[in-house]
Amino acid sequence: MKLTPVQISLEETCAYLGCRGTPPPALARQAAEAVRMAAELARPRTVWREFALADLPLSGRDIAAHLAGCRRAVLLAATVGQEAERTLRALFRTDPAAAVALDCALGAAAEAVCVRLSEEIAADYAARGESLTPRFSPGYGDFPLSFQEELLARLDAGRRIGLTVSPDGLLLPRKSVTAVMGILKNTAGTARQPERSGCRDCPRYEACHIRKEGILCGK
Amino acid sequence: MENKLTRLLARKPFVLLDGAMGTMLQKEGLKPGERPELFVLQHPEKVTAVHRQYLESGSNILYTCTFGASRRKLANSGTDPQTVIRAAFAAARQAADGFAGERPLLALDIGPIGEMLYPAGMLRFEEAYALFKEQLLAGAELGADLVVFETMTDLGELRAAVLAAKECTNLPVVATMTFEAGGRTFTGCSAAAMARTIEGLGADALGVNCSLGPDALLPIAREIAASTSLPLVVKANAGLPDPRDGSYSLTPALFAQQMAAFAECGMRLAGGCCGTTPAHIAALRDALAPLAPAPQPKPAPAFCSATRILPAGGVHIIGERLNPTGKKQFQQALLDGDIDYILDQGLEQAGAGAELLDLNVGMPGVDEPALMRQAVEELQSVLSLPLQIDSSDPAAIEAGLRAFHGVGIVNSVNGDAETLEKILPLVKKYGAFVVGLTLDSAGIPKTAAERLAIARRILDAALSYGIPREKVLIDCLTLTVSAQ
Repeated sequence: MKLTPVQISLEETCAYLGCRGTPPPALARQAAEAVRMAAELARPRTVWREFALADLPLSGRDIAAHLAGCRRAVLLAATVGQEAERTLRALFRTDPAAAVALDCALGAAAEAVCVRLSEEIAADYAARGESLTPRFSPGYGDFPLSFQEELLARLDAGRRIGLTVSPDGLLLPRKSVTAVMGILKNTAGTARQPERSGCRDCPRYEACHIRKEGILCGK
Repeated sequence: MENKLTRLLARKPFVLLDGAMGTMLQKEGLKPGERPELFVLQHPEKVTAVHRQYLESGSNILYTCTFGASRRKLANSGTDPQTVIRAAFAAARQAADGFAGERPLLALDIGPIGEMLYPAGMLRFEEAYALFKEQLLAGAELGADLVVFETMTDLGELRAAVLAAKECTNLPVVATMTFEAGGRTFTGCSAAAMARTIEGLGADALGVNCSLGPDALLPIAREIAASTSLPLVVKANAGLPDPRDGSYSLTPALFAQQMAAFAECGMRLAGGCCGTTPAHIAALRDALAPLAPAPQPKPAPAFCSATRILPAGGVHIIGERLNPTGKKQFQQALLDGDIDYILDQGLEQAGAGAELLDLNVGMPGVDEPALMRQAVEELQSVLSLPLQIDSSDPAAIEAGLRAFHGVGIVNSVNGDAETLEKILPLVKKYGAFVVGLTLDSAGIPKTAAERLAIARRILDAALSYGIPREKVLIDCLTLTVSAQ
């Protein structure tokens, strides 16, 4: 399903561009144009699957704490594809400023696809009286980036959505997100409502200029 | 060229392939995310049992359990391609040996490397080639009857694979890619571009596998059939998996019913991919039994890149600015190895409406083959136009053709026997078109009759190398009045 420009956060695009506060009009126009192009070029693809936690080789204290009380978890992956990359490379040659804006908008687009997917999965589980923890991705806290390979293999993500990981742990296509979400039983008294902010767990907490602007990247 | 696969195809209206291996092994204890290629080392008897069930369901060709047996994918697994491929062939042969029916062909199965090729990723074309070559040599040595490249999404990667097979083995080649509902792979490669490009490289059969259920693949199969004269392969999934438990939705009867519809677009090799079982293949056998494949019409000629098709008929605009002749700045850029200059020129012409780009990087003092390869790689990283490789140096022509992921044009040959002998085999090998200039070592003849005679000579030579007539483009060299 395609994205519409409205679904891609202009605010997040500006933040990725390093813009603090209200952007000057020229930059705002450029960011808006980049968001429009990103919606046009993105080819959103997603895959998810449920696993028993006992079957997942998760390591790290942070992911364990995040999934406390869960016995099952959802692995998910979302990408905007690599079709936009050729346009982006060409744009870097003809209009580098527009290319940087598009690069940022595509990042925001990947986030938008992931948000939409998480909401769909959450609705699916809500219908069965279950809820999901917020997303937690490889690389957060002490949850190792090296889990990407296992996560993609579990989802058969190469075959299903064309998502791969490079030998040094980078997702390709670049504008992609993977995550784990724990499944919680919504029984009275023990329910743990999902929270939005996982910022405190983020290794970039102190340095993050987006957080300082009051924007959550949703992770 | 006749081989084991073409002989099998000549005997049967439909060649029955097998069904899924991975999802079958999951029922035998393979965990999600675990690799079938490692499972076959530990439980060869379970793999043999799956093969045997497919034979009993009517499969004429078995795909060995070697899909992910590349050195790159097996890194850190403690084993190597040779060991896995040996075990997988032993398991398949074991199933074939004790089988009372017709002996199947054993296909060395090769899937994608799992890393993206440059420019989307870091893996270079020649590295991909070397990885495929290693698997191919191992399979050929073990007596594989053919090789199957499947589930590919990047035309560049599939080209590396097919070229490795053609250059390093004598195995018949089957190539299938996985497409989305829109008829393109995850990298944007269209079904038509895949068919034209891979037929050009000399594959024996091609088509689609995995992707979706059969119903959704029908328009894609039609597009492939309209773009190739080669036998069409369809190996569809049993629908899509349920994210909760991984189960597939299509029953054998429904799968077979949907697959039977492909007879109408000329399918010759039929099987199942993810989620299919021996019951699906048996149902498919029964559904195809009363049918005959429709004859495939001859496709109209077209140039293409991985993402764009340009029908060869009509008038097209070829950008001719990527040529140093008489251009001081371009010459300097070539001497400096300034690829950026070439890219900017290419983008400018594309922006101005060029449908094809002619590329000439030849001048004294440069390494023309190396420069040609680099220029092609970089141009196709920013543009989707088909390319015309313009050189008189066979090494540069080959470098350009090898790097270009599509069906391009070689510019040019003339009636000179030595030129024809050196360049036409390259045109044939890479499936390109060729421009024939109606001149020879004696110069440009004055009369139309003499030029026609040269054109005939070029065409006859091209045909003798197996280049199809429609891929020979004759330039009659109409000169300007002022030059006469």
